[in-house]
Amino acid sequence: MIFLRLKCFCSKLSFSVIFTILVALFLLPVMAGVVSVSLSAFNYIPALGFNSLSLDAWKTLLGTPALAEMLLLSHWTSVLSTLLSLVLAFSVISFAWDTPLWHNVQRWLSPLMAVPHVALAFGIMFVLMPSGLLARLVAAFAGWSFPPEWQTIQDPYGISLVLILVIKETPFLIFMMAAAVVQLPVTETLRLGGTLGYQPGVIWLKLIWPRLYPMIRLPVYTVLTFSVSVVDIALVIGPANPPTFAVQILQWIYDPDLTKSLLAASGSVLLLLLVVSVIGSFYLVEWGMGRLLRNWLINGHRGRFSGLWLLFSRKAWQILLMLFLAGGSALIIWSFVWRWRFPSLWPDWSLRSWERAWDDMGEPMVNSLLIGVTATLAANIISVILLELNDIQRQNSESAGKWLALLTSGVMYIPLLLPQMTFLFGVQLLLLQWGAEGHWLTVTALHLLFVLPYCFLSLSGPWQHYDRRHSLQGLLLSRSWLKTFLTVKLGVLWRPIMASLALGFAVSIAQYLPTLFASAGRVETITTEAVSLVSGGNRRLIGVYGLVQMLLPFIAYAMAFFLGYWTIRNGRFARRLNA
Amino acid sequence: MSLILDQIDITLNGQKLLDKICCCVDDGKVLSVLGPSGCGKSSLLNLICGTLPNSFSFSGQVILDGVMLNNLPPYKRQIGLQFQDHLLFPHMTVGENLAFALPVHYRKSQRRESVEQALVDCGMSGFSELNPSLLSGGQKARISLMRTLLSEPKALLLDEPFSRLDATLRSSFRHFVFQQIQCRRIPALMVTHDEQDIPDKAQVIRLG
Repeated sequence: MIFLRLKCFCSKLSFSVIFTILVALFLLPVMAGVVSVSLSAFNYIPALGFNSLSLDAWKTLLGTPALAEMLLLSHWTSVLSTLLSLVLAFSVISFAWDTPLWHNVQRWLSPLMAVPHVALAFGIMFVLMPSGLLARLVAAFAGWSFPPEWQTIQDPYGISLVLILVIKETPFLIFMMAAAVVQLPVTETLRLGGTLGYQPGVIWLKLIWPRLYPMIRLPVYTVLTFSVSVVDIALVIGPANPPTFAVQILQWIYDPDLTKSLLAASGSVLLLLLVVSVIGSFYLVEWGMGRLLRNWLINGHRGRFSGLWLLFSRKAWQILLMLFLAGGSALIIWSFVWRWRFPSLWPDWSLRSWERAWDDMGEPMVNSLLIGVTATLAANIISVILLELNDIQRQNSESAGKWLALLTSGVMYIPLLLPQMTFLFGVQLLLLQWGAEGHWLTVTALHLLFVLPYCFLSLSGPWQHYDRRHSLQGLLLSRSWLKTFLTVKLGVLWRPIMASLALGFAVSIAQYLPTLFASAGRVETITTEAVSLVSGGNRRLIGVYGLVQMLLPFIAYAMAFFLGYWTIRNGRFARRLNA
Repeated sequence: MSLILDQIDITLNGQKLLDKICCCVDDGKVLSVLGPSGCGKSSLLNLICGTLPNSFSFSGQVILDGVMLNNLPPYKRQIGLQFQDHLLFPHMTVGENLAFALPVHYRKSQRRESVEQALVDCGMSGFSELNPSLLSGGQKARISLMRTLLSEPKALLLDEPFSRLDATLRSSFRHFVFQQIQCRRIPALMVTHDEQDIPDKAQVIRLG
């Protein structure tokens, strides 16, 4: 009886603790940010001395020149890049599945995802720009002596921005699809479809895709949101005049004229509406396609060009990898360049940029590491606590546990589904009011909003698949809950935890807006420094900072990989048994 | 029409799973392949369908209607396969599952008629708009078989088709399957581990 009551108490406790953590850590700051920015949009920012409600900011906003163009640009780049990434990711899975290439693809995913997008944008910029690697290669054959006058980056239509977004998002979508597709009977479906006379490409399209897509819908929407509201890579490689709407808002925020803050606030609310409309239209199209294509699904066409399509997507994937590698190499080259005249393929080398950057880099580097490590550790500890509490709940009642798990992961998606610009600007206004900005802990807390969801989502799969009987056996043997948890459960789940630590660090390193908004210019990280170099246009320094920004998460991944596979036994390195 | 297996060997990691299998199955006949699990029954089916994983190696010929199938991809072989799990596609209704299998040359109205006829044939008319997850095990099995047959295969492979059904359903479904094979006049090869499944005691290969 007492035991039962204790169990009931534990279950209630776990529920309320989960609830408190979610509300305090996630809903409160995010909602506070949205509310604060909405109030500001109607002329209410006490911190800046605006106290009376009015619609002036909206009138100015709607009268902004080129507003429609900026909105359209944001809309079109986000939808196009998401669609292309989705198609490419799906094609990669279709042609690589169950072939030796699949291991190859999976090996590439982690490094591809670990690269901070700013560093990636720098690298690709060095490859594509009119005097970039590609143009030099062509020049060597075509005999150009001047860079071509094409606008290959920062083009007015945002094509280079779309390209970067595709390179950045495709690996993420492949990763999410790979996690989802293993839950479907793919091998059997391919076999069955084949015996019904269908070609493999068509089987993927007609039989697997309709079941796979609903499983990755939320990640797709986060990609849409990200590409609407992304600022840092749009600053590097996006169109400049007019820029995408999110960049315009940032420019308003940092305008010396304080009334522009009101404009920025109403702009942020409009951005939120834009995200809602983009996701909404995406959903409507999905729904419409689902109805329209029902006949196509069963019309009996078994495919004619399936082989061609697979070949084409294989090439697209290879081009993506090559661009990625070329971008990385371009960063390395430029960081060691002294002078590099245009048509020449071989620069004058020098260590001078590194010498020059080294002294200034110390503080941003320490800040990045401090914030990254703290946020990652906090995120993983909170994730583990949430998952454990969830397990307790599930042991008491399977249905309540499932419901709670669904709720928790749903809440985790909120910061990823809202445009960063909108609620972070609201949070910044609140921080300003409380005088809390400019401390590294504030920056860390804002990073946590984005690090925690990724860590939680990456750990929740392994936690679900964990065989609870291991813990039960451990409990019977050791009679200590803590000892069982530490030695048995964490031991079994060691590698996912290491992977999640590396992922969290990579996410933190890549954050630009949260750092910018929470730091008030007082906490500089490698990322904020790197982005601020864009306007200066010093390619050598950009090379150095881009490379360092790229290396930090790589080191984290390498360490996680090492710790995941190796351990110290009897004073020597030894392979972990469950590696 | 007939399905001929000529001198089939299958090896995995240097170990011989099947050794010199030879047989000929005529129209409307069912050849039963019996044996314990791991004896190479599934590999034989995979070989005939063209879905044998690369880790296996084989020699010999699979001939259907005088055409050598060895080098054809699975989708060109025109061989139907009936699994023990019925694998109805959950994103399609029962009728759509059936229509999916119909060859492309059927026009729209013909497609609807063929589906209706197939539902009548298996005693399930009126089930067309239903979600397949609502069907019972026996109904799923029948729809799955009709789907395979609607694709108009020139031979049928049955991979333990009755093992997931309970005893009463089993005999009636067994009867239904063999009746369909006879009236469509196609050769069939059935893999099973249950002696009772065998329709023709003269046509049996025992492995293992």
